[in-house]
Amino acid sequence: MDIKEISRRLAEDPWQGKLEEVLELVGDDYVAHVPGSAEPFRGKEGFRAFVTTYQTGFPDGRITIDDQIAEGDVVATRWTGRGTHTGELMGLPPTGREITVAGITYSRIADGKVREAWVIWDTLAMMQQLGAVPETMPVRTT
Amino acid sequence: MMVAPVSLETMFGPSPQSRYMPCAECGASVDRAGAGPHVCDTERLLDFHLFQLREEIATFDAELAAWLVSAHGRFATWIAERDRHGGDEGRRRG
Repeated sequence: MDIKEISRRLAEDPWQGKLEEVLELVGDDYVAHVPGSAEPFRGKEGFRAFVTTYQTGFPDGRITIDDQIAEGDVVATRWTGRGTHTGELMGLPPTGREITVAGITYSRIADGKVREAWVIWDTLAMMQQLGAVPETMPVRTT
Repeated sequence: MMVAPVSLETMFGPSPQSRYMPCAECGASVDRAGAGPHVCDTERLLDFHLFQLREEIATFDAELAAWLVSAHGRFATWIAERDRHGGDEGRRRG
């Protein structure tokens, strides 16, 4: 399995009921850097915790791969995530809204396992779609 | 003191807006750059409204279940059952 395929499975498979299987592709030394998270996610349990957070918020969620570029042991995967917000997400009560979000995962893969990843996606767009970020906000004027 | 709405763009300069936004009526993700107006799917529309009412529906179900086992509820059930059988009997005779 080449690194593009490993990256593709890491992105898509957890959303197809294959989270446990895909953990075989996560190194024990895995470190994931995610915007908005104070600490990186580490190891298989970190991978599981990250995915589970979003699967709780979007139980019908799915990821589709739009493009991939690989060089050496690094692969960049551009993806689109879609799902309906029917579960609590980071304190946000369910809204029933369907969202679409674009992102890129930049992964370093060695010996058939992902060792480090930078997962960057449009969190502002996600929050706008969930109504957590208002398009206008009141400010005080004199 | 007055409070006036000010857009994020006014406050912070141009701020990116999501290309996709959920339809206010049915909750479906709509591509604002897409061709043509969005048309709500009937099933999606119903699901979205039922989802918004889920707490009221759960409350109603619980209250109905409690009422059905109360004295009034049990009597009403008995009357309804009697009338149903009476109706069947009436139809057979007719």
